[in-house]
Amino acid sequence: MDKPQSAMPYEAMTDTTDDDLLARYASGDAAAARALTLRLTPRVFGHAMRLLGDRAEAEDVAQEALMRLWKIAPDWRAGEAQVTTWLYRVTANLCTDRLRRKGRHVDIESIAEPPDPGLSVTGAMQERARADALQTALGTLPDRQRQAVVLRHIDGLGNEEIAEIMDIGLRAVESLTARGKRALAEALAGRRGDLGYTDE
Amino acid sequence: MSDANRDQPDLERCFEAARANPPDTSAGLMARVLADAEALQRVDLTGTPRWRTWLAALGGWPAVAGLGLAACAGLWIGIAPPLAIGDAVLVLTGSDFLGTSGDLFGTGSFDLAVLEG
Repeated sequence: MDKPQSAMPYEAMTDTTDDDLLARYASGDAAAARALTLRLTPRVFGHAMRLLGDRAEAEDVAQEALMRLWKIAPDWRAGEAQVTTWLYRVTANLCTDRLRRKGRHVDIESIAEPPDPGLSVTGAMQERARADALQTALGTLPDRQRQAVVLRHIDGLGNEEIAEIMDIGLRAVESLTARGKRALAEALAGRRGDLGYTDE
Repeated sequence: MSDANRDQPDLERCFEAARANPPDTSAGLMARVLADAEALQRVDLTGTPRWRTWLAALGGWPAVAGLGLAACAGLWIGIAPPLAIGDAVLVLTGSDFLGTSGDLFGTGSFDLAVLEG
């Protein structure tokens, strides 16, 4: 089984912008290749995982999205678009293609059962249970709603960047996130006790 | 407080939990991504292989396939020409290009000239 990412040395060059790193990568800087990999892979994989809910597929998508970044690096025009914005868009498109091919369907009844509240549940386990329940509930949303909610509330992007990534207007972003949150609240309703909310 | 409003803070806490528990990125994925990055970097640094440049100049694989097909067809027509080609040449030029004698290169008349001195 793969070791966690922390096994790799930390060389993410946090004080250098993505644009600069990409330019250095294109000019053959090996350190820039490592730094971009360390910086961007978890982000791209995390986003793909939220959209697909499948580790193997999310890994394939992340690898493909980053492959496209390496290929475009020599032609990248700094300042025209953010590297992360471009990557989110490519990742989302790859995920959409896979979901269409697969004909994804998640049964709302299949939402993961959290740990038995009758047991002594630690705070960390409760957090994990909430994250898992949310992930499964996300799987019940229409693709565009899920994408907007993930970008806004998990990846923490602003509406303008989301609009650019999804190629829609600000109002459409607001509408998608609002509808997505309502649907999530409904999917998670009735599980407040299970998720450990009644004891706080 | 309505049910919807009561659920909103819970949803926010689920988002917080999701942000605090991002999916673990495996070392295997990191290694594959880095290998891709380094492989493409090497190609860029050493330049595109010569045969690829030629291939691109000819129009890529489809053009080369078409060229190969045309060359094979030409060779085959030269070796075993269909009768219709001879008829067409006769009609167009008035001469029996392929010749009913089958002497395509006129070697018979050359031999005769040599013999006659």
